[in-house]
Amino acid sequence: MTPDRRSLFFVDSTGVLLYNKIENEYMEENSMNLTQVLDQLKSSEKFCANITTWNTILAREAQYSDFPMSLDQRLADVLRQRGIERLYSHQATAFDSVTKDKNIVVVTPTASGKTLCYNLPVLNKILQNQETRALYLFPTKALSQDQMSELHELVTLLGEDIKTYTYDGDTPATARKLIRSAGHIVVTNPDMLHSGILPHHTKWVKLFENLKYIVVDEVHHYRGVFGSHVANVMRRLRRICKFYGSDPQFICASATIANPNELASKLTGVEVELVNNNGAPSGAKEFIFYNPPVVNRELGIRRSNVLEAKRLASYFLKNKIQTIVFARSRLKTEVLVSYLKELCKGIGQNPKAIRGYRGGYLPGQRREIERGLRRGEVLGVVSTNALELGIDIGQLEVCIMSGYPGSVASTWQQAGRAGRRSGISAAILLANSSPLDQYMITNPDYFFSHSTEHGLINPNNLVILLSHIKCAAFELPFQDGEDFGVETLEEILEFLAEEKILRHVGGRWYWMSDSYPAHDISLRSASSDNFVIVDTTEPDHRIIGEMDRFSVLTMLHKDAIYIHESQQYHVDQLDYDEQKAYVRAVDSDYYTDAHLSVDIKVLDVFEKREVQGGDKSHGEVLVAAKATMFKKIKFNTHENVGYGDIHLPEQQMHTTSYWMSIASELADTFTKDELQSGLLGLSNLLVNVAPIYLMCDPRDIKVVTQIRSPFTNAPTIYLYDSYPGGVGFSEKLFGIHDKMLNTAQELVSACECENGCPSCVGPVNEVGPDGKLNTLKLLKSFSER
Amino acid sequence: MDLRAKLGLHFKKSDKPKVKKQDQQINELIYESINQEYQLSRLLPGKMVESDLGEFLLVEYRYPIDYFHGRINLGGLVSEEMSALCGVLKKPNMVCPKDLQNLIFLDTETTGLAGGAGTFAFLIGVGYFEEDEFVLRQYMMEDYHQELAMLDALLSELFKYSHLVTYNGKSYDWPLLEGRFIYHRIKEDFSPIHIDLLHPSRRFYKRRLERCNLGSIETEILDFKRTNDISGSEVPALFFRYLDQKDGRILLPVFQHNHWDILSLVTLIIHLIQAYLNPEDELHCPEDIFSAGKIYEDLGQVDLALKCYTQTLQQENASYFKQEVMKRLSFFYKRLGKMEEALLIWKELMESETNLQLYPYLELAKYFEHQCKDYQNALQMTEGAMGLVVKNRKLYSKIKLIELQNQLKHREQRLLKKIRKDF
Repeated sequence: MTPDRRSLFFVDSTGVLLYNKIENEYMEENSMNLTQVLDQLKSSEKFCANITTWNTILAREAQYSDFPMSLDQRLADVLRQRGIERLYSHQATAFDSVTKDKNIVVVTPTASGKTLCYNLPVLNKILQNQETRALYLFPTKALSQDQMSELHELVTLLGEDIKTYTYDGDTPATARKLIRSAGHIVVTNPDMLHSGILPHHTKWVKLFENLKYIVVDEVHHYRGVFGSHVANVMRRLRRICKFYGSDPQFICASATIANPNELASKLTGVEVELVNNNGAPSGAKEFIFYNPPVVNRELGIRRSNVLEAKRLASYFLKNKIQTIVFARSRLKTEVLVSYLKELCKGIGQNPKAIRGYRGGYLPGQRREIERGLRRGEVLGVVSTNALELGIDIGQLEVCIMSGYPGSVASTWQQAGRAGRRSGISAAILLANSSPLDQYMITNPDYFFSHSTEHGLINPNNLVILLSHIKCAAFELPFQDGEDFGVETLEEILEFLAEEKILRHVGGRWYWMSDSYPAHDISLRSASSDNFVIVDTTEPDHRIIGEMDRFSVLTMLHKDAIYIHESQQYHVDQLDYDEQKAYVRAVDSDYYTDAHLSVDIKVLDVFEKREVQGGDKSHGEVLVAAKATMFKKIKFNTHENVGYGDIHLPEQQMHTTSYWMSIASELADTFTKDELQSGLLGLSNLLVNVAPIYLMCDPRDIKVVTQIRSPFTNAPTIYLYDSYPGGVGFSEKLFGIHDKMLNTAQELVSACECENGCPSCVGPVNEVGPDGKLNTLKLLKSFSER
Repeated sequence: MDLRAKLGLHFKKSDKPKVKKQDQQINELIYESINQEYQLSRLLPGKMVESDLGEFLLVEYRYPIDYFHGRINLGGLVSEEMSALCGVLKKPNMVCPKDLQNLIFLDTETTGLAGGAGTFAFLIGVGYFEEDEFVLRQYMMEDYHQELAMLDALLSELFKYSHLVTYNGKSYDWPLLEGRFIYHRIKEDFSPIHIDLLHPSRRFYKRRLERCNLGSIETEILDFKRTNDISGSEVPALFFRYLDQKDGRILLPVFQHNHWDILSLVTLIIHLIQAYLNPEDELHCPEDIFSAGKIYEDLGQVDLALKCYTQTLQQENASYFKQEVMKRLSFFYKRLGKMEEALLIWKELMESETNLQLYPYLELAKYFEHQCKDYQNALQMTEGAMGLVVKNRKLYSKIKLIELQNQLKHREQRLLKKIRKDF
């Protein structure tokens, strides 16, 4: 019996139609609630066969603290108006620490009232002293807008004259002047700070002279190349503050990672204290690991996790249980949205209640979806990791992760999207066939008992440092003996003076160029000289992607078949000087495979230690890559149907690397072929295992093997940072060498394939028929003592 | 591997400032070794000024008041005429300078156009009237560390004047200097009334001149021809080269360039005031007189505006320009309630063979329909407009054409209805 639909909606005070969930649940007699659905799944043998773990995380009681004594009465009143009589323990601790002039980083789960940790002390100070200024930094524009609405609400309730403004690329020119002189709280992002605010600091004199607090939210987001850039932007920011006589305090917030205070300290350049006594209550959560069944054992292929995600989502959606599905790519997001819409039609739900959410959607559209989620109008949403950040979408009941999100930290973040202060929620992790996914899904203990990954940055990466020293010198001339957080400052300044970019006179280093350095430096892209891919299929050419200089050699050479979002393109022309590749959509029956010879040369060894079976080192290397020819390979049959030459210059990259070499006694126990296949298998494994510990994208690390390295004189595997100068991965890998090899061994041993598959050492046609065997033998000799 | 070698590895050639080939050639041909003789203070009428804050170069020239720069002499203005500046700048409420001696003219040469805290003004030229002389001073930092002393001296000079005259200084020179003052913490409460001549010059000459920069105004309006001038974009590179070689001759063209700019600022303000006060005498092109008319119209000076418009029409003009003036004038008449005069123009336009415009028909149709209640005539005008649209249909886009025809049809229907009602 279908109830009268009209009665399911009512209009709220702003005139917006709301979908009344509670009413609906009550009226639909056939619907089950989440507990019932989970019980049903638990009793299904077919479902349970694929489950590797079902973990119940118990509910937590709230822990409260009374309002701190120094909290302004006006603020306390406003909190009471909003129904807050006491603070959660971590909110109170944060307030106290900030009051005691400490820099802090707050680490608590999603929806634990983190924003009050910084809004309270900041507003409190402004109430005490109207001159106080604060700067809020969020990694994306969407987040800063979200923050503004919450802050606005508090300020409006306060009824005091506290001005909060967003200052980013969208801020109209007419409003900028006012913001610069009158904004108490300026909300912006690191990119704007880097290119729009710091280089024009004299216009912001009012802000910098009175800057008391710098709020850095989502600290875990600032890692790798981006984080290393932002750490330098912070150095510049503190330098400007010092110039104007202020010494602001940092209030940071982060999702759970292994080293929040270390990362926050490195990022801000000051000692940061950890606040993690979470006092927010949470309901119980069922955490389920689901491994799709194997459909081809030989190739190690499992059932598509997109199809599995669809099937799982249907259990919840048909019972009107609000569900979020995380997909690993934009393309998969779109595919899943269309599947789920289709599904909704089939089960009598409104397909419009299913939405997609990813980068590339317009801001207005995103806001609408977020609102729909909070109000319950949107029943199901499929998202890329865009919704992983702290955008307010309310609390959903179920989260399905289609593919391991790439790190333990991200997984907890995404799982946190489902969960309420009371009542149960469920998070389901669905693995795909990749080694990383398979390791996680088959080793649930690792996930539940290990801490999250380390957020790594290297603010002293030479390329990044050099860029920001230029920006800093543009902003204020360096003084002799000035501190920028690096010992080598003087030497770098001298170098820039020799290059006639700076001029050393009167004890200062002045900017001597008519350029604006911040414009040439992007905080986000891994390298400033990426190639753009131009689709020329239609008369209106459009840019469909970007690619780094190294990958261009093998993927965008002339006559390559380039695959982008499952469409094949033929590369008609590669304009190397202009850094553009012109491609045209085609439907070809072959793909291209380029041969890349990579040579690695060790420039400097930072550390070297003997280990079981050989030794490990890390240091600086020069990687040289040259593509020579490519083969055309027919789909399905894998026949070689032609080849061509590639005429592209050799690419060099100076970066940091970790490497392990194999002792000759050990190497001698292998034939040359065995060694070759074992090394290759091991290298495939390691490059996939490393991200488990590093909180990075698998593309951020590359691997090279040498059967006889001219440097170590032994068979050697190099794992190197794929960003010039390195961002700190190598040193970390050096430290976790044993752990990483153990994990690799567990992964291969547990893999169900016979002779090797893409989920472990790589496909047989790459590593040879005994690839798995050889790799295991090699691994064993490394771990036996 | 040492740091220097690593830096070299990362530092790409493209990052280096581009040195123009031409510059290099000049460099090699003319300049030899550095010599005391080539110090700026010897090459120019200037001296090093020292204070607690350091030293800087001050260059000074004095011109007799009857000196001609182009066709205008520096003393071509009497103080009584200063009140016209309110009109020139279209700011009726501005406090006008009482005296020529209240003005200070300013122009800067900078290390770049990008803006931001890393852009310096290394040479600042100012000019002012002192008794029966015009004084032109150039404040120059010979190196970065002299900036504070230079700016401090400049600021104490600026303090003496109530009005600052620049060309595009509102968005360029002055904000840049303000940034430098803030950086050195030397600016107290000081904000002169800023007279930026860019906007009034545009109002007068944008119809005629392709570009309204000071250079083209100078050539076209002030009759001053520069010889061997450099372009502004070459300035930063010359300064950097000077820093490197300390050969004053490198900067002589920059000083000259700045010098001319200051003098032209003076003759330009004189010319603009004269043009505003006596457009018939000062302005020779009908386009400029028309522009003056528009300025008067905006300021509500009806008689002067009408005078300019009619004067423009009396001269020999291209027909498209004539039609534009007639249109402006007719609507001005209409707004003033002088329908007779407006009607005359519309009728004249309508009857001219070359007319492509619809508005005379429409205006007449409106006039007949609403003012005279003469629906027959209004209908006739509307039909005339329809005929014109069909005849010139190629002038319109498809959408526009349909829209126009619909509007006209609508008007026609309404008029027909009214006519039927009358009978």
